[in-house]
Amino acid sequence: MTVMVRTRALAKSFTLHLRDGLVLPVLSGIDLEVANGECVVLSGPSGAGKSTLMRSLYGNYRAESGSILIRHGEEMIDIATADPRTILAVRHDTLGYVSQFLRVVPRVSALDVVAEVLLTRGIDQDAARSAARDLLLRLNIPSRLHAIPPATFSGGEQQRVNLARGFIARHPILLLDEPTASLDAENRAVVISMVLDAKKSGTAIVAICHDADVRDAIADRLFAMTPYQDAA
Amino acid sequence: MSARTGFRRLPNDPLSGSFTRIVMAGKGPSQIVMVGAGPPSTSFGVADQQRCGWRACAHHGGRDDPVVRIVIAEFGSATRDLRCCNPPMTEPTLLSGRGLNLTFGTIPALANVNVDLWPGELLAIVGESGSGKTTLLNVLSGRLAPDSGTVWYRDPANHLHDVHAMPAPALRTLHRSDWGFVHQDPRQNLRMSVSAGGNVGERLMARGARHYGDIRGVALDWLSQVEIDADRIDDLPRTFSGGMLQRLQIARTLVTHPRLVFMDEPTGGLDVSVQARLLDLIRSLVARLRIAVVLVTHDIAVARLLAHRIAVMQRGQIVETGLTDQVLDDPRHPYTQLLVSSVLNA
Ligand SMILES: Nc1ncnc2c1ncn2[C@@H]1O[C@H](COP(=O)(O)OP(=O)(O)OP(=O)(O)O)[C@@H](O)[C@H]1O
Ligand SMILES: Nc1ncnc2c1ncn2[C@@H]1O[C@H](COP(=O)(O)OP(=O)(O)OP(=O)(O)O)[C@@H](O)[C@H]1O
Ligand SMILES: [Mg+2]
Ligand SMILES: [Mg+2]
Repeated sequence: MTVMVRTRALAKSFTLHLRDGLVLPVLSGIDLEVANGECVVLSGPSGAGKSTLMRSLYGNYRAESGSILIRHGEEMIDIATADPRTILAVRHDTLGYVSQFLRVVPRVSALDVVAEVLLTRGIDQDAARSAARDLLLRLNIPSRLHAIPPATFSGGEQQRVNLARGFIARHPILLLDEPTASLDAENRAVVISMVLDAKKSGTAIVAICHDADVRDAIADRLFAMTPYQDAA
Repeated sequence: MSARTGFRRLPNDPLSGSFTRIVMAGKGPSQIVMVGAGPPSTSFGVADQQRCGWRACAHHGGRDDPVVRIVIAEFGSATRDLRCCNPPMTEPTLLSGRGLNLTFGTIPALANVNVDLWPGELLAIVGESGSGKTTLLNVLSGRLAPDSGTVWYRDPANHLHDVHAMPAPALRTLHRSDWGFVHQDPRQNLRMSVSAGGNVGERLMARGARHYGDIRGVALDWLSQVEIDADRIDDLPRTFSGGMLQRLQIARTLVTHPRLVFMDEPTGGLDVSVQARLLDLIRSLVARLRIAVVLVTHDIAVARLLAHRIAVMQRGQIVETGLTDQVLDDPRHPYTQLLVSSVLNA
């Protein structure tokens, strides 16, 4: 067993300058540990800070204090203090993140949106596209949609493109924020099987999912979070 | 004991004068201590200094370390301990601006601005109109001299150049070869009386290319890369639309494979669908050719789409800088929060 993610005394609050400097404490004293091959699901009511924690792990939100150690190759990198270029390198090689919504890039086809991650790793275009095609088909995105930019796709289709993009690079650590929220039962089952495959190959997974069936199918452990006021 | 016992200055340091390096006698380069302001040393990036606005860095050893004690004595509370941070990135910067100041009358167009750019990186400068973005770009590219401060450029042979101390011909050569500039108004860069192909070929010839067939071939290739039909190669730019002119300017700029390109609002004044095409083009070309870019834009969405890092300017100062998505999703400075909140889907 190898620890892939370890936070210590992680704290985060937002200072809202547009609202007279109102301070909104969200996270405090977070000690989370995730090993390879393990799926930990963050649980707690709306507003408990699940997405905030996940975004902090990804370096998208800036931790206020504490540490966020991420195993990057042989090293443990502290995302809380790493410089921007180190964070980009960690994201490139180590950390995959499937956000709730796809951020579409104008004029880029669904196939290339998914293949892009592989291209940046020096995989040739044909191989990258063929891997992207397979994954999109597995997620029931039909071939006729592959050449179209996803801007006009339905919510569920966009989410599946986002999932394909997140899973294709086989990052050692995957962060999934509500990966099945707008999917039907058939596609939820596909996502479950993809998560189980990733776990089997040693991926450490942190997930947020409200759907109890999905959660029961993928979670090894729950990490309970409570809204800040209750914790204090 | 003299403050410098056990330490020595590097005698032939190319940067001496701009800052002091102290090296622990008999120890390897990892023991270099950097104090004062200057371009990146071999062991620390300036980013390490900048991260917390450090003036002094001390590597190894804690507060009791003799090196650190001297640094603390010289720099007092400005000293920080590097050990609490990740190992610094060692790749040296391509371009570094240090302590840049420039006032126009009473207007502080640049106020103590520090900027770093690494090879292959796209840095966006955002901020409201009049905040100093264009001024910064012009100072970084050597087109406008600052009142104080230094701009360092590292050439492919790893030599550092003080951009504003360079002789004019050397700077012109730099602009013709290693560097490129993309203006908001393409007419500032293009020669309107020369054909599209000629505009692209001219930059190559300025670099020494002579063989007509080769030049035309390369020009054709670049026109196709920026999605201009081959049969327009002999047309004059004035017959082109705004979006085409901008793409032609990009072809003219990139044909010499510059390592560093300055762009000032490259999509300004174009309508949205034309913008999207141009952005997509810049995005893919920059990634494929690994060009470093300083991009000035007032459009947050453009920065989000293209930039690795972002610097937010207000009244001549960089008020916040960092990873693009961090700064836009978790803005800290009041001005950045205002900027982000005023844009839909930023
Ligand atoms: N960028 C931000 N700026 C200001 N406040 C924020 C920001 N992001 C999150 N918050 C606040 O942090 C708190 C926790 O939000 P978060 O999205 O982490 O909750 P959550 O547990 O994921 O909830 P849900 O289950 O509804 O998705 C909320 O009060 C939210 O308003
Ligand atoms: N040559 C000049 N002479 C006098 N004042 C100048 C000159 N150039 C710029 N300024 C002033 O310096 C400030 C910064 O100008 P700058 O052009 O850098 O702004 P900017 O951020 O690029 O704005 P915009 O988004 O409108 O292009 C402005 O107040 C401007 O009026
Ligand atoms: Mg959430
Ligand atoms: Mg300007």
